[in-house]
Amino acid sequence: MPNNVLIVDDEKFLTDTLGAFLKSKGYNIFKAEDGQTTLNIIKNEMLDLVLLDIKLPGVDGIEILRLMRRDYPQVKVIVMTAYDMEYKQRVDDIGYDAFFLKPLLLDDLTREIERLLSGEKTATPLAEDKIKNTRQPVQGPQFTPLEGALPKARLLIVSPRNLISGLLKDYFSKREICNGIYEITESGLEQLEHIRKFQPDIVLLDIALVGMLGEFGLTLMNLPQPPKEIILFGDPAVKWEEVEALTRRGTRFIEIPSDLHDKGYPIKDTIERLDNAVKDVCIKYGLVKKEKSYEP
Amino acid sequence: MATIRELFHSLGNKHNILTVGCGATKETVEECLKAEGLSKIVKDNLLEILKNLEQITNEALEADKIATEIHDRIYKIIDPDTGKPG
Repeated sequence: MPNNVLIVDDEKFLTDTLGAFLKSKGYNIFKAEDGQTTLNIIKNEMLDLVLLDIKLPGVDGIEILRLMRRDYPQVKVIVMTAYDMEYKQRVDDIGYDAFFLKPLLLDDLTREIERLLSGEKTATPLAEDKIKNTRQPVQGPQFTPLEGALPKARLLIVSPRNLISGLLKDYFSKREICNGIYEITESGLEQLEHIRKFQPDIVLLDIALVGMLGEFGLTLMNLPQPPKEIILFGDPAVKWEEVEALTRRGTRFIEIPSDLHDKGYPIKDTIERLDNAVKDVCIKYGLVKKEKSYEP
Repeated sequence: MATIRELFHSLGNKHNILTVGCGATKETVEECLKAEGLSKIVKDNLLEILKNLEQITNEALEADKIATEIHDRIYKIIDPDTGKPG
């Protein structure tokens, strides 16, 4: 039975040409030129391997990679990008099976695909001057950080959308659901005294606060005890320039559309992605509490 | 107006189209060469095409190296997202 391969790139010539080439090699090919189509195919098809361009319109390749690693770990992922070594640390943290900087050479790509799908443990030697930075899969942060320990943090939710902030507050308040110990508060942009007193470890910031993100972010970072990280969330359809600039610098962004009944973004999945982002930060900064039964 | 980062990204994609396009075309030509009964002139022409495709691929890779050099120098002095001195 032929292997199912998904090719994801916003250049149609590339998906068509690469698709025809790999089809001639005996693979069953799916193609996508944007993030949403990619998500639909991933969810509906039994894929063996994904060739993933990082820079995509709509849902970006990094979020797709994160989803793949979390929900479809058996699917091999080859990450491709052009000049965006700035993204490399982010994709390293998530993990992949191979990384190619464009321009691609088809012989080398084919060899790598064959190696991954055959389940070979050692890499076939690749021409150093043609393929850069191919590496073995990196283990991303674990979502259950330590045996017998839970993420523990103060979360500040800043959102004009009462329904979504209520849902998040409800979710993170229930330890048995979110599997973490979180102290939660909500705030508006002006309630700086309240924020200063609360001393949030992590800020969940809705991008619906158009035009104020940058200034508010700076204000937070200038607090006597600034938060460890700000995690952006919001409707990907209104992800505007300031958000793009922040995400290119490494700020996490989790899609939660305005329409909470959007079938492309099941609310349970989107809140879990936000939960995972919070847990990533907790692991990174050691914001954990050991369970009593594991204490000496 | 596109940012410097976006321009370099587009440039990288253009080089990629060259190498992938040449690679796929090379594969097609190699398949043609397997056909039986090809005249010498057809065979020679196909081999010439393969040679030219190899040349285009190498030139695209060289262009990419030059673009990478420019990218690295520019990124040291200019913020690629704002275009202002970094």
